[in-house]
Amino acid sequence: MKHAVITGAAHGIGKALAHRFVRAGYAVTGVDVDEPGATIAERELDARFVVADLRSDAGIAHICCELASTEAIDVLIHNAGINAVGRFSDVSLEDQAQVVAVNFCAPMALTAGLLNTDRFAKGASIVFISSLSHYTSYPGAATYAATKSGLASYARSLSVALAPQNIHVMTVFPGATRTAHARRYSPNNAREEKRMPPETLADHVFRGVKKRKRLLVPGFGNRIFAHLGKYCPCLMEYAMRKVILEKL
Amino acid sequence: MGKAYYTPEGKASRAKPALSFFDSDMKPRKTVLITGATDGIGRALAEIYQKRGDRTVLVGKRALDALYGALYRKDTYCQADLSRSDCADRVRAFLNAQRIETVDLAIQNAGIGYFGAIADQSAESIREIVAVNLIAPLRLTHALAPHVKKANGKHVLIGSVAHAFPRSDYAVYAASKEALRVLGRNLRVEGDMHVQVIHPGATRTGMHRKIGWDSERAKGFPPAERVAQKIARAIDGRRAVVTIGWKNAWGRFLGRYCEGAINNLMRRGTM
Ligand SMILES: NC(=O)c1ccc[n+]([C@@H]2O[C@H](COP(=O)([O-])OP(=O)(O)OC[C@H]3O[C@@H](n4cnc5c(N)ncnc54)[C@H](OP(=O)(O)O)[C@@H]3O)[C@@H](O)[C@H]2O)c1
Ligand SMILES: NC(=O)c1ccc[n+]([C@@H]2O[C@H](COP(=O)([O-])OP(=O)(O)OC[C@H]3O[C@@H](n4cnc5c(N)ncnc54)[C@H](OP(=O)(O)O)[C@@H]3O)[C@@H](O)[C@H]2O)c1
Repeated sequence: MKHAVITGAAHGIGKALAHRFVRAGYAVTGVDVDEPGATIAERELDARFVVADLRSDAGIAHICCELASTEAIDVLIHNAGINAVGRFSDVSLEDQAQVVAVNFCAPMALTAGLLNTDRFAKGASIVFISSLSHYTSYPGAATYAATKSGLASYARSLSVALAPQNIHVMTVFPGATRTAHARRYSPNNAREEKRMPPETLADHVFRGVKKRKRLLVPGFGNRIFAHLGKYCPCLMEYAMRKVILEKL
Repeated sequence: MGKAYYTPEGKASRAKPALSFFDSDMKPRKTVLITGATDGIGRALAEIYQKRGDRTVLVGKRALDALYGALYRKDTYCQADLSRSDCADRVRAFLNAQRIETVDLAIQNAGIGYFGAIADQSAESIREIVAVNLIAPLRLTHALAPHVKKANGKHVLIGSVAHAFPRSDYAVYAASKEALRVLGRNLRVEGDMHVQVIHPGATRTGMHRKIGWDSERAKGFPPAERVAQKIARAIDGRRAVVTIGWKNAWGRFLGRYCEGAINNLMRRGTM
């Protein structure tokens, strides 16, 4: 049985991913801070959960320790992520430091820890959930966007470093997805049904892993945004300012 | 070269801003804050601004007693360890003690690295690099925003061209510089502060020795003084993103727009 490890699997995209991999016959280990949420998901999914806080080194060490005795990892998905929205000068520094800890430090520390103890199976995949903001900019969430692009850069280096070991690295750049996360952090939820359902995103990610894709922008609309952002950055920056910042 | 001033809308204008030391007949005296000013590029920048007659506020982690030279005095040097969460408070306290209310340039230059296999890097090392290279600039940009705004000045973030390529031996460093670049971009888009990001290329400084990288090759890099001159000139200008040196600028362009091809070449070990 193949083994998938998914962080932030008690809710949202992580939970949808866990469902997708369980359905494909994987043994899934979820990681989450939310203990009641993890207990519910554990029952619902028939998965194993490690309750740990990704913000601390102790939390990372605990996860590595828990994974030391399981079967080797075939798929590791760094999904847990938080945000802190508002104009940069209005958002508390402590909240921003937390965003950096969860979105940026944790995936790097966890990856290094698991590589160091040789926990990956032959031909394994490591998946990083970044964000479309990497291409489009994201005023009103400057720190979040910084961590998500930093993560994409790390994944890019990792994909080269691990190529000789045949470990596959994929970075996913999701656009707005219909989860509690998006609802919590958006200035306006009136058009919520326009957001991609997390199940669809999970399907994209699953197929991406199977095809060993390296970069994945799920959804046609998002791909257009990514191209516009990459080749006409000023246009997208203007648009994002109108769409997001001025509504905050 | 004519001086350009930034208006609150982010557009450069030739008109002098109302609140400025330039209005008096006195020699203009700007206040320039530089982090990581005890070595390498930061130290060279400090010398440039001091020679220009600007007031410098130099931030570093070493004790004042351990520093030599006329640059570092009680009223110019602020000791603050940027890997710690109290760094911004310390800098703010120093500014208060010196009665400095305006900062024309806040140059966030301090940076550290790690050289070695990804699997060998400890969680503490990762956290320290992110703390100094990303979180400290976040904290200081936040803390100094009122001072810089008062002076109609700007925040300068020192990135690196390292972010534009895959770096298997210093992945976390490159990632931290990419994060810094994007932070700058988003702050600019938010539009309520002037932020410039400057990407130097490889420079002959103590950094390579500090991270345990064989310094033989580093001998061929341009010296910190020359790079600092170019950085200072870029700061005088108004481009929001500047890469130092045309070869580095091309490298950065290729690294971004031919991402897939470069990754493939590097994966095969042909580059
Ligand atoms: N939703 C979108 O529109 C969107 C778009 C682009 C990218 N993304 C990215 O996709 C990922 C998942 O987003 P989502 O919408 O599914 O978010 P979500 O619904 O908030 O789920 C995130 C999960 O991560 C957990 N988590 C948070 N901090 C943690 C920590 N310190 N340690 C362990 N677990 C932690 C959360 O637990 P708690 O509930 O207890 O906090 C939650 O279960 C994130 O990385 C996000 O940035 C989302
Ligand atoms: N050298 C290159 O090839 C190169 C290329 C591109 C970009 N850069 C960037 O340019 C900037 C300057 O680099 P450099 O080459 O001049 O490096 P450097 O010679 O090592 O100088 C770095 C400075 O930052 C200080 N610093 C380090 N950690 C600190 C902390 N925790 N708290 C306070 N200060 C701290 C150092 O203090 P100590 O003197 O006590 O060590 C030193 O003054 C960095 O951001 C670097 O990433 C360098």
